[in-house]
Amino acid sequence: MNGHNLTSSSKAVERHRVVSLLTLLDLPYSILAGVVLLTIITVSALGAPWIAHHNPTEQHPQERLQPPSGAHWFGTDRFGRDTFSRILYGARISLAIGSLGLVLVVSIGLAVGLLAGYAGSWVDAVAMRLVDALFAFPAVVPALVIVGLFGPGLINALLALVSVWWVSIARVVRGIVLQIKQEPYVEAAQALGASPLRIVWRHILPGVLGPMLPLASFELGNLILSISSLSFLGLGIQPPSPEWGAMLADGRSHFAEAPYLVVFPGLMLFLTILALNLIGEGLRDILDPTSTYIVK
Amino acid sequence: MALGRYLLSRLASSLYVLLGTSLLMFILMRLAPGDPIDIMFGRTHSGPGLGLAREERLGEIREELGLDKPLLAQYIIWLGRVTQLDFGVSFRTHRPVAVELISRLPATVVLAIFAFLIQALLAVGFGILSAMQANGWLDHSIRLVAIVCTATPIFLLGLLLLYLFGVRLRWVSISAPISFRQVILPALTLGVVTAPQTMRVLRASLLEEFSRPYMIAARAKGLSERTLLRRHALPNAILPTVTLLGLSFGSLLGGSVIIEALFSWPGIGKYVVDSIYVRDYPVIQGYVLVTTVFVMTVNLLVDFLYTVLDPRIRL
Repeated sequence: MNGHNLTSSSKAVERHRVVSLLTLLDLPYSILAGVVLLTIITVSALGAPWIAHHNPTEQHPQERLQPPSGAHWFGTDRFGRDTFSRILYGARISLAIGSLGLVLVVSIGLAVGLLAGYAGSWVDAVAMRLVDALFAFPAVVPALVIVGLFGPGLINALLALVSVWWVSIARVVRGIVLQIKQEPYVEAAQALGASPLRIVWRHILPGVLGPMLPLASFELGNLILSISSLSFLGLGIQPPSPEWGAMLADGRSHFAEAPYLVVFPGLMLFLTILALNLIGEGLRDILDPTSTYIVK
Repeated sequence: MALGRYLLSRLASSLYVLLGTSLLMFILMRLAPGDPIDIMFGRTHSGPGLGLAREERLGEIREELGLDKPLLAQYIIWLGRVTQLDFGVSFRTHRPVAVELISRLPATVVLAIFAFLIQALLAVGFGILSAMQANGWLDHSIRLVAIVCTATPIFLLGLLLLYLFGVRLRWVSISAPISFRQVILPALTLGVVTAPQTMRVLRASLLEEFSRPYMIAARAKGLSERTLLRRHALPNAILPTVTLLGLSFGSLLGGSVIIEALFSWPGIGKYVVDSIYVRDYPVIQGYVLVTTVFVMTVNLLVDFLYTVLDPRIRL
């Protein structure tokens, strides 16, 4: 009897394992598509020195504005620079700066959100007032002001975006913390005399990170787009560094004769954001199918 | 009575945000590299006269502008001027910033209205269609297009439309003065890129509403799908959509910087970008304060609209 029970329960465990694996593989198509796309882009960015045949900033005036060919897959720009190489190196800049921005934004957002949500009272009131004031603007306006005052450049553009972007993360984090704070296990930890730092670190933070995943994916896409937008306006990266937004702006004046100068960098930017949005959508579906929260 | 009290408290909090913004703006301006007087003279007296500006005269101007006083006093003087719409004189055009901003406002307002209409039409139309056909092929197609539109950089879409209709088909001329034909392309670009988010929110809230018991009861009574939607589901589901559209209109009024720059649209967005290139501080500062007022006013109006749309909400 006992032996039979053991066998059936171990079979159940086995079946459960298989089911878990299937569930894992049965990810929404959007995540799979997004991950494949993002992996291709990241690998090409990392492998740029080996994949690209040309120096991205080297000028060849005799080869200017050449259409796509065997030698220059995506053609050349008005300085005779190879567009394909520039796009690959541009991916490095966009992904690196975007990721750095995301790390900063998430760190500040988490810190403020956790502090405001857990501490409550006046700390919460002050933090949320600041968040509300900054949230009223589309992120690009304060960013424009900061870049306008401190001068254009990639780092200034990034810092300008980060200085206003954390509010959307802080808002979401605070909301989740307020919910988790009511959970019996948090009350139990408080009753047992755990320090606030320990409660936040061990009991609240793990609960916050899950719902943050889709948001982080969307925000990385938004950050990459905003940095490109500032570069497109001439306020971000400065020539001759390759960056997709700056390349688009540069190719604009030759759009009629050389549309590939606009189409290829635009396509790369589009695909990167699409990949991140698809991953974000899929994660959101898995974590909270009824979710309708708004990404700024 | 309650409404009056609410209005007062909202005005007070708006004033608070405006004060905060102005203080932040003032601090940023002082933190910015370069002495305001040097920058002003570098900009306004560029050319051969630059070296002749005497130290004495610079001191006088510094005194006139209150720049020799303590920071707090400087802020109060500056605030006093700002409340009278005196944002100073543009370094670039030598005209009062307020006059410059007001002269460019109509173009921005026209673009904002058209873009808003396109956005609302697309979002509400496709949101309803998507929810009514939930999980059908039409819903899937609409959502796919929405995902594609959300991932499209606004300047890329603008450039492609400009190329197609401006260069290829020659339907619009880029350098012509403001007209209905001119406004369509930038408004369409803005509308298409901003609509999907609102559409998605409307779809989600409609689906939530469809699953409620009162809807099942109404359907059991034999009401047509159209009546169900128009009389029951939509009025209950529209509030979050109104919020989003309101926020979006507020930011459109602040000037769609990228689109105005791309289409050479003579609004405040393009004006501020042009000013940023030459670090025209008074313009940047005036622009931020004007934008803050717009965003706050629109938010307040959206709150009032709530009471019209949902009688349960009392202000």
